[in-house]
Amino acid sequence: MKETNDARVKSLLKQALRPVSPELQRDLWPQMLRHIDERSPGKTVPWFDWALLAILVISILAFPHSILVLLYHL
Amino acid sequence: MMAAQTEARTQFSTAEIETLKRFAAGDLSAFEMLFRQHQAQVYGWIVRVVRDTGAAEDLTIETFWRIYRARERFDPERSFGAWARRIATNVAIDHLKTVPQEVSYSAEAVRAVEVDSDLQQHICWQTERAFRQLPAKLQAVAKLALVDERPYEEISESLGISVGAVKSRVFRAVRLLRKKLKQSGIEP
Repeated sequence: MKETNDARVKSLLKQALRPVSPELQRDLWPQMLRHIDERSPGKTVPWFDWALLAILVISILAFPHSILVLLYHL
Repeated sequence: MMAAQTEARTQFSTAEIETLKRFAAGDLSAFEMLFRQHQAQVYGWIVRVVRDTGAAEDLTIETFWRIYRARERFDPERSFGAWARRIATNVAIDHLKTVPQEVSYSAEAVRAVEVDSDLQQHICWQTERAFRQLPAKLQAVAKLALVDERPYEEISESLGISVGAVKSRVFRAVRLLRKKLKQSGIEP
């Protein structure tokens, strides 16, 4: 009885789920290469840039009047 | 003749190990070789789990990106294919967690089997809807074991769990699915 029920669930699932072909239709290497290029360390923002930004934000939060000085120099 | 065959096999195996060593050391051409060799296999495995060809291509790229980043941790003496499949399974399960659980009803939906009545179409929709509500890990195992009928050993290897744990997940998936279908008024 249990096996019959399992077979019924299996059959329902096979009907309900979208059929897909497991065959790959094209070579994905060019896409992979682009992905590596985009995410390689040279393309990311260096850590010291983030550190400078953090110092700037902290300075502005600690001394709000410094915004005027910054704007004057920009 | 036999000696030549054995020698060729040893050479091939040595060449393969050499490629894996170069990959682990960060050689891009070795990675390309492995990518071209395994991309179809990895894609085929992912598409079985996610059932979406477009997403499967992106997830294949994501899998190989994770492989590329983790290359230093790879042991060249072990099987690259098995390692890739395990990462692919995790990537596919992560994707399933982000897929919306609700399925909109469509009388023209593409089904694996021709359904000829509105009632059958409705049952298919309810089944898909109930199935999507299962935890991602159970969905993945159920698709591989019940829909694609992959061997339990293969599934256990790809998930990094025992065959017993695979059987347990299949059992839980069927039980949960049956419960949800009953709640929707369908007697499985």
